[in-house]
Amino acid sequence: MSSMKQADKGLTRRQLGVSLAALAPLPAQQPPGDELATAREQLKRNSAALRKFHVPTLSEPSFVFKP
Amino acid sequence: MAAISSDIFFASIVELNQRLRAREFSAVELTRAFAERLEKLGPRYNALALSLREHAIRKAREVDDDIKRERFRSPLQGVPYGAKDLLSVAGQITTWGAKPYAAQVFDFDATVIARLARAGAVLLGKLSMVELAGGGGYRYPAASLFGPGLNPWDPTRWSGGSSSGSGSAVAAGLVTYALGSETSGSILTPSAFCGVTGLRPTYGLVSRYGAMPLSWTMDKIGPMCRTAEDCGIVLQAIAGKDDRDPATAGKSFYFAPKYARDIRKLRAGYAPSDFDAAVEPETRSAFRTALDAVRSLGIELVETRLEDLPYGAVTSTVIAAEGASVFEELIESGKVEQLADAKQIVGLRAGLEIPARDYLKAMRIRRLIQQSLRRVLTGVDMLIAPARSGVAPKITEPLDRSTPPAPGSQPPPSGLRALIPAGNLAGLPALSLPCGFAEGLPVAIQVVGRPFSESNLLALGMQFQQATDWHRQHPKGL
Repeated sequence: MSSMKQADKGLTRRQLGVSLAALAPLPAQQPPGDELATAREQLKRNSAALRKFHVPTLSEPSFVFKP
Repeated sequence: MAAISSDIFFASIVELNQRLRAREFSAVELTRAFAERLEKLGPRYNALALSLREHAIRKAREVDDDIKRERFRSPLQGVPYGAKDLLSVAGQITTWGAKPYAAQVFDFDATVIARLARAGAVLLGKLSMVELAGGGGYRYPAASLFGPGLNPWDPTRWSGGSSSGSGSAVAAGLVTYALGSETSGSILTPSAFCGVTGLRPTYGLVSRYGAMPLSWTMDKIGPMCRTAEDCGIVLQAIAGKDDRDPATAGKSFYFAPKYARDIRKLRAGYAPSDFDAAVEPETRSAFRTALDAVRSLGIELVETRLEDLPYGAVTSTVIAAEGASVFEELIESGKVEQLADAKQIVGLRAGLEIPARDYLKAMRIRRLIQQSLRRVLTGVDMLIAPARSGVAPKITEPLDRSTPPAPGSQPPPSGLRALIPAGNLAGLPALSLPCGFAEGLPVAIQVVGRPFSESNLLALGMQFQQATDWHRQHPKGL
């Protein structure tokens, strides 16, 4: 369905070919379960790094971020 | 009018606009020549997302009409450019580099596209990018609907991400300049790997309306060009307040290089180890030569370093949490599985699990990072460091593979090595300047300044580029 819409919107055959080629499996991907576990591990490491860091009680988050 | 010669493909905005005004060729002729090249060579580098040839030729006709009547709008008038495919163009496909959005069409122009159109710029096409600007993290350069961005200096190498097509297209002379975007490194990295000059503006200087959001508090849009001067010209056209982007700061940017501060009166902070032990051995000679070139301009160099703060963990947490919220529907619907890179898929999924406690802690530390950088930039006007520590990696190499340190070696001092995440967290502007070659591939320095100090960065960039010719070199055979 999305391919049909692409063609209607003027994608060339070459562009479509490139898009389809990009869908080929990537080399040496980990199984999804392992990948998710790795991603969660990374979040845990980030979390540990953040928790180790002392922030003064009066320090507010930069909610409205201004440089 | 004379036939168009191939030297136009690597000419700067300033040079092309002068030749258009001198009627050496028409805007339509220029547009046709570039469109043909973009359509022919763009796919070779996986750089082209969508050609807008007819759209561009219509615009070029308007420009020719204006020039005929001596209605000169800006130096961008009639000069062809490309836009990263996360920027909407009314009625055209905007894929965000990702299969789930392969047929997405908006009915309005992004603010930056509309502003460039008003300046007379000619949009030639949409340029490829890493899917969803790599928000979930990605393992391979092939993490894109269009395949891996290939580097015109060596197509077995990556062009960098996430503005991959923007980097390749400028480097290969397929467009005169391009728009990219940066959340953390996505303009600086492809600029450095492809040997083009890239400017990351201060957060809030350029409207993101009509751009794919990834991280509301970190996204910026900026130009990737042949020269620092061209970056200034494009920035003037796209900067300024926009009520449709609540983050815009209400500031404009006027590019007036002749009124820029004398760089001999400026001080730049740097860390000697950044140009030596902290970079890949094969690049050290190029970086040392570049540092000497900066010193020879008369700017005072002062040793400095960033404070020891958790830049990486804060950046990852902010982007992962905000990105997962932006793409919550995509993730929950399961369509996220259509993405090309397995790490990206699970990274987005895991982002939804970040506790509020971690996001808030990251944003509180971010405040301290901002204050810390303000202190560092009190003693100096800008910071200079290598943009990337090595040359573009092979497209088959996993991007998250770290090289183990040599046995018995000491890690180099931290210096300014975290400048990309730190500068992005603090919303600071940065300029990437080509500064030499290693193994035949470009390397670059980055110059980072105080908020809204783009004029200083561009002044240094222009003088650096008057004294060197690395930015003028282009890949053999193109």
